[in-house]
Amino acid sequence: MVDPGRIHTFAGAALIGGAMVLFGAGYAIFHALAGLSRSRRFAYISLVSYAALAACALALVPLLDLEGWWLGLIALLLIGYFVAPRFIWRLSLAVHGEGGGPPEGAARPED
Amino acid sequence: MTLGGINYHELSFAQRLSVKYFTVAMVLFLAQMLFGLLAGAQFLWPDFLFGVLDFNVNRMVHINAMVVWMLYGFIGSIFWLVEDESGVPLVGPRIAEATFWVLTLAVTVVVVVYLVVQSGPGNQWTLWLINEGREYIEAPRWADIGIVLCMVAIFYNVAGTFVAGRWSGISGVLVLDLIALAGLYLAGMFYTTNLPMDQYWWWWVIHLWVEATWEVLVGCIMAWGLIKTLGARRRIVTTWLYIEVALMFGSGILGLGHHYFWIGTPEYWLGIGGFFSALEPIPLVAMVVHAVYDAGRHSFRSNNHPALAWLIAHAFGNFLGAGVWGFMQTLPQINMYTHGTQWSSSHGHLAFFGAYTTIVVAFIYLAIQRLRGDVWMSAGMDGAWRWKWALALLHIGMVGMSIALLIAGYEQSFVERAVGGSTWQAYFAGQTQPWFVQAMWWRMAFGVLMTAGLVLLLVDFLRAGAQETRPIKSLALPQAAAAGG
Repeated sequence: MVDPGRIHTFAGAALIGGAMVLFGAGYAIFHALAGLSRSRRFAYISLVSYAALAACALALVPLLDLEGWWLGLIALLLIGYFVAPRFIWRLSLAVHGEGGGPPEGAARPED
Repeated sequence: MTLGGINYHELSFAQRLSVKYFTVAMVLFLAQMLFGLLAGAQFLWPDFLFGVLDFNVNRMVHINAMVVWMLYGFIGSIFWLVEDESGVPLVGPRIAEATFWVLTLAVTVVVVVYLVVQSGPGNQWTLWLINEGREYIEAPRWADIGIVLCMVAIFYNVAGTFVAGRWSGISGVLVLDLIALAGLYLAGMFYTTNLPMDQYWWWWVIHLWVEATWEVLVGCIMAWGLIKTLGARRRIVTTWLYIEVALMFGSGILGLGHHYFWIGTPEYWLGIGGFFSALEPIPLVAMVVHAVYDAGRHSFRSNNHPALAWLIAHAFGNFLGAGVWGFMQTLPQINMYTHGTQWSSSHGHLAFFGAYTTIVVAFIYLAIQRLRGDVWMSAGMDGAWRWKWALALLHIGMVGMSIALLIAGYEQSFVERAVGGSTWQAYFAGQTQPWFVQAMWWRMAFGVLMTAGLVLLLVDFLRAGAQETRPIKSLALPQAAAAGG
């Protein structure tokens, strides 16, 4: 059994885990929007979302008593969530920037 | 072709076969809902149908129906695209037709046996003929062998057709994925008396199907669907399919470890499962970037709005159900309290619906468009309220049900696991608390709402596009003219 004073921590940690992924999506969305519109405001919101994500990740450390290599996992998470949307953005530019063949679908609306 | 009419005989053989697969899929989807409602009612009234149709049977049919209807939906989608993608007719139409009927007959017999023989001794005889006893894949051994043979026959037809015709990125990934799909099922067919070892292999089927091969299969279907609904460029779609396969397999295969936390496997699985499970949402988050990029750079117009709406629902549903709901309970420090509670059930419901129901429904709308003579299926077509309301009811019902189950799971984790220490007494204490009982009522209410949405969806499948007389070409021609001008 768990110390009654501690039983709220795992539930809080679960919600923070979910929030972390949502902030990750927020970071990704606003990073992409900033790239599309060249808006500084979106870029700031993107960074604030990432900061919230980082705060969630760090909050997991005391809540779940993480130590040893689990701290390394948190660090890797922070790196992964930071790098992946930027990587995909660059890939989007590279893939689309090279042009392409004629479309196959019935509707051809983008040109 | 008759615009707005039923053009079944104008379809190719493989497409007609797809319609059969989709029909059975929807019958099973309805059965899944009805048995889910019965099982939900038994949480509220435990004596309801006791001894006639027990909870364990309702739950088993509910889940098995879901697995099978989704497989039918996937197979139907594959047959729908195979001739278009390869450029040649199906190589073995007779085998394909026979496979459908054998598979459907086998599924019917298995379900009837589930319902007729609900209890009794378990031995080698029952394992072969009645119920294998493994959760989610309870089909008896004879049916297991039949399923694998049918999958081999389907593989022969799909791979053979591509060999006879032309290969593409989509077809290559699809064929390799079908090998993995059939091969992994074998891991759930042998039996050991060592329970941890048995569970170890059983999870290969459950996890690696759902979080690896099914995801890739859906990626192939979605790639083809995007080309057809949005006119997306094949080279770009194929490139993203490869990236998705790499990301999904990279995190998903060893994400299997989150099922090995508590089954008696070595402790290192805590670390492996925790690490790769934490990585699993990253592909989903990263893909958000590409969706925003495409939406911003290209003002796509679709000729099939219901299909596009369900494809968008797929992108969000997959992220929310699998990504957010999954990560909430995937770290072992949290999962210790939540696994096996209604919390897991909440994740399962939302993830399966978001990732798989949505894509099969989207594909059926693509098929309906063709069946109706390639009519323009817009948001304003006659009777469009039906698909919009069906979409809304199904989603409100599913999200509401998932939140209700989450609350029930939260209460179970506290009372049964954390405070009660997972004793048998605590198990029952957890299910009599007011929060749990109220959550079950809400789950039932949202389940009824969802069933109403499904009935409306099925009606729309029969009626969508029936009054439409504008062909798809009427959309494409002005653009072509504009491009030419």
